[in-house]
Amino acid sequence: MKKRVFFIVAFSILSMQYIYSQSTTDAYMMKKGLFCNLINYNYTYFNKYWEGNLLRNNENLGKVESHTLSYMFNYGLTNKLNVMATINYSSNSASVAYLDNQKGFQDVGLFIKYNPYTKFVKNGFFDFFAIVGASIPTQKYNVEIQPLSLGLGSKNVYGEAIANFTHKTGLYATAVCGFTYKSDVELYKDAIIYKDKYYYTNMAPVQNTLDYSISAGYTQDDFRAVLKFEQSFGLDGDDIRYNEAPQVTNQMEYQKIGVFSKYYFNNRLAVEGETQYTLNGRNIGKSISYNLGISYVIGKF
Amino acid sequence: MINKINRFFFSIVLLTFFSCNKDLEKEELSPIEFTSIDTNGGNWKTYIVSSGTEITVNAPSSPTSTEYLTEITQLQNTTQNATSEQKSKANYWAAGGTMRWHELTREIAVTYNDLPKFNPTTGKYDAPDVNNPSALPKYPFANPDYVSRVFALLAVAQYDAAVTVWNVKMKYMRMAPSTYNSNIKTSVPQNIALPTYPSEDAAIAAASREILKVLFPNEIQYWTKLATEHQQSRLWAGANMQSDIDAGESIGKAIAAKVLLYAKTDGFSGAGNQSNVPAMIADAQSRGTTEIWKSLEIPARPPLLPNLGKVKTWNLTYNDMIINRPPPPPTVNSDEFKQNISELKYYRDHRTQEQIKIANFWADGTSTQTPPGHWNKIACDNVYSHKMNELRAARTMALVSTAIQDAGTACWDAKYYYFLARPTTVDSSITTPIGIPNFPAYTSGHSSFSGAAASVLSYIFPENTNSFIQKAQEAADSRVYACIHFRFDSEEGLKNGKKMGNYAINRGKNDGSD
Repeated sequence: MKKRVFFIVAFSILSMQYIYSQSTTDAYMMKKGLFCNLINYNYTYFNKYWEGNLLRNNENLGKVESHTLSYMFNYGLTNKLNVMATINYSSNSASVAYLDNQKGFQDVGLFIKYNPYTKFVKNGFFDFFAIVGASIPTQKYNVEIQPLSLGLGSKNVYGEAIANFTHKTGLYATAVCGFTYKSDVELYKDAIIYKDKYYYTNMAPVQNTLDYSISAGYTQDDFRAVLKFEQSFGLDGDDIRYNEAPQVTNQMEYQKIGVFSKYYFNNRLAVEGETQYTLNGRNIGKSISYNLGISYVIGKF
Repeated sequence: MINKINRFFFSIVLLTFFSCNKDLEKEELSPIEFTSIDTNGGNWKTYIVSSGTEITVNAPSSPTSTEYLTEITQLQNTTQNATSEQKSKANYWAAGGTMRWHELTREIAVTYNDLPKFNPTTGKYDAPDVNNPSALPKYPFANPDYVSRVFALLAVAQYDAAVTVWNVKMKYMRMAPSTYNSNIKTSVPQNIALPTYPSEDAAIAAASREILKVLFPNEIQYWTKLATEHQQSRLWAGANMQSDIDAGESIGKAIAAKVLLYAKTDGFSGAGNQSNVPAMIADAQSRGTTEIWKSLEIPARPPLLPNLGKVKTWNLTYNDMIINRPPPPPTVNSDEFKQNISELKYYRDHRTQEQIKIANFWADGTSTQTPPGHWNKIACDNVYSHKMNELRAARTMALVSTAIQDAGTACWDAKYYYFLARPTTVDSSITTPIGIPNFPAYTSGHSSFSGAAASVLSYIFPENTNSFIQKAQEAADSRVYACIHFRFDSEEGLKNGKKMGNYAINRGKNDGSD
């Protein structure tokens, strides 16, 4: 009897996941034939940043703000195989510096998410996912106006593994580990300084990154809430030079903590919100960010 | 299925290992054989010493003497036992000693081009301290003016040393060791028509080391190591005798000492003096400047080197500089000034990808080689591709570098004479894609440096004139595209730079080399 109840709960959670899948870093899939659209607004700001490991402010930069509107879709090719794409439009500015605001379309990304394995155990089930993807800049934006640039300008290839355990009570935990290969970036220069040495080249190395996250949450029919910790490491690179602007070759690292929640009005419409706080970092802003998203599923259930 | 997952993780780990380090390689240049030997080079006009005969060295031992025979046996040993690493070092230096020293200087200068931070404790911007050069901010702050003087002092010392070396070479005519002993196999290209006593490489290495030890005191060990390596490389290559090296070393060292005496009294140490700035502002106002330059930094940073205009010029007198001082900039209410503002607002709103590219390419701000370094690189590339001997290479670098420094001096004179504000100060809606330099606008430093460099390089390498002129124009335009300068800043800077360059050209035409 107990076992039967468990399986009913488990299956209902699983089916929810198939419907409401939305991200490359969660343990959710979109069911075959369903097309989920997400529009998301993000606001991120920082007043302080790490120059290498030194947390500092910069009165000549002031508050650095970024507004990003993004669109993402996730389509269920099968119940086990999803295809996703993202595109962002950003507007970045600094409150004090006389630097041009940077706005425009950022990178476009395409991802494939595969759920090869699900195993039911006594009190819940395990789920594994693999994601591969790539992203490229939609245009040749100016990468030399850091930290206001729209991005790093690199072409990225992305691989990720996700393991998830969901308890029959609806409590769940997810671990994600990802690696991003980033191409070198062409600068409008004939020489660059890299690791405190000068090179006559216009190709700046951008660091590959390794990142992981662990999250713990609770999910039920129409609601999901998650606490997430994530860490990202640049695998090589240099520090921001003494009193200098950041550049694309910097070794960026961060640890962030965040809360995410999502509410489902029905099986098509949902809203979500997230806030993230940077605990520690290197060559990166000590940022706080807020997300607000709305998703809508098209297709026949 | 688990296997599949394992494989996936395994491939991530593999990928991670293989793409962990992203290091860059230095460009390589093959060794060259000089196209001409300039037999009259010892008579060329020098900068600091009175002539190529002022510094003397002993006569070399005769190739038939016991002393020489002993020395050449030692050389044969050294050359035969040279490791492949030593041979490759010899090749490195044989691409051109003068050119290499400029290149190495540029590379170090970049790492010293850091804008000092504000210190809340003292309420002032930290200043690099010559007596404690390794403390942050490191000494020196290798800004464009500092760097232009470094290149000039370096090139002048190299040039005077080369003239002296040539003088001694032609006096004694002791030829390459391989001429007297067929067992000596030279591993680098060598024009054997040129006598090798004293070694020009050794003289240039010693002169460069001594100059750079003073100008970048944190790097004393590095310069010393490089100079030793440069000098030794000539033995490893079988191109010079130890006595060639010793004579070159003594010439280079003696010349550098004289150049450093000049440097002590050229006025540069007072260039950063801020005490007369209020008087300068009052004077500029009395001359009609209504929009006085203000620091856009918070807190206000003192302007860069307000008294640089008093530094001794190389190829012209102070009076020459004043006679050529650019005319007053248009007044703020004039139509010309208003047109300039509208032009900048146009670039602010409609800057093209190409214009951003040009603005970034010539930005040459902190943590870069600076505009004088940018032109130093262009000059070196031409010296190398024209396979110039060390004397001619040093002459080229001296003419270009002194012209660039003179142009900078004249430009800074105008900057503080007129004390004109940057466009963004006049109209705060003018934003920029690169940082706004912390000194007055009129005239543009980039344009001045570039005008001087392009005109001197066109004199020395006339076949590349179009390329130099186009580059200088682009450097001047880059500042307008970036909205950090008015167009008249760039136009007058370019014009004045060319005039300063002409003084160097006149010197070049009369130095005995043509």
